[in-house]
Amino acid sequence: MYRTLQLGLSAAFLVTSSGCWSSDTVIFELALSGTAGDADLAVPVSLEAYYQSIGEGILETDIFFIDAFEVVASQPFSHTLSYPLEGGRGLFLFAWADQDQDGALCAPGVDDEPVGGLRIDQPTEQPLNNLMLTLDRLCISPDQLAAELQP
Amino acid sequence: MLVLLAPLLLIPAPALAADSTASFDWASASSRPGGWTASVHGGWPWSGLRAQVGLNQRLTLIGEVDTAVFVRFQPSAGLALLLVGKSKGRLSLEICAGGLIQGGVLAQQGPSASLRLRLAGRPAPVGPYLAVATRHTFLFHRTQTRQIGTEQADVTVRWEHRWSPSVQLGLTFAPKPHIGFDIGLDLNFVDVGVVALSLPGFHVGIHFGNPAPKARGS
Repeated sequence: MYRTLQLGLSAAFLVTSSGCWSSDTVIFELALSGTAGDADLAVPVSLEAYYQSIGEGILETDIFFIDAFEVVASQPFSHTLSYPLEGGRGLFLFAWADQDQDGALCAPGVDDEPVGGLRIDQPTEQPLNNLMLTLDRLCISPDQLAAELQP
Repeated sequence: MLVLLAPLLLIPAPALAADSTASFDWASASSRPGGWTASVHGGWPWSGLRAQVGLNQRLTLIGEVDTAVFVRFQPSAGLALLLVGKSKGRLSLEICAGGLIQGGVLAQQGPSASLRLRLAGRPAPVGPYLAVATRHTFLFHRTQTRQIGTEQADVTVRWEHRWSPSVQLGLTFAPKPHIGFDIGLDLNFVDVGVVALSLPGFHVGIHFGNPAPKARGS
């Protein structure tokens, strides 16, 4: 009986101890610096970081939100982005100016909020310096702009 | 929990009837000393394998693996404690430790423990059974952050608890002592509070074994 019990408990231990990390995420801190927008913008510029794509096969999806922060238009900015390495592919920076300060990009009836974007296909741990985000388009959604900027 | 259950071991064990069947033993998770039962069940979404062997009149060793559509696997092993052992019905309590391995888009894995109460009526030749279980799984998440200007990553570990209770209700058929069948409904509530809806399922099982081994030397 005790030998059977010992074997059973050993099996239970093996089964229990075989479970390791349910998820193992690697994040690297990516230093971003540069400017966004023109001096004539009277409002802060919202910068949003996205993966260019996530998922595989039929579940592959364009752009996926990572982080957002605000910068002063035309002033040099620096920001440390926490970029999860295996969550998706590439990096897309989307910038927009909330002209009417309603917290929404181009709400119904608004069609003059400037936007701009930048694609970085293979970000590494190397800092991305001297980024220039020009807000030269009006009221385009991040996914649409990412698609338009695709080479 | 084991400490709380330990006094039960001191209560004189009920002697299981020698004319038991594999299906009755399976449904009640109780076997006579040296008796064993194995089972295979298939259905939607749960299927699985299970084996048990009696250690003494009260304790039965159990090993099982359940799978939901071959994406979520729940292997576990443990002991069943016979609480009531009458000729017409049995009540037992299982304590198992194991793991969870789930693939697919929502992959997760981690150690788990379960507690299951089984109530079974003797199949003569048909008998009912009810199993109510609570399974607790722990998922450990590790995040390594590589900071600017440092070689070593900053490692943080986060864990979460998932609760998956279940109810199984069915009928056993025991045409022969060594072989039998069951059909049942499976109400498995997977990851309560995380998964919004768990659909009920059903299964058909076959059990076989030696419920009444001959005593040594006879």
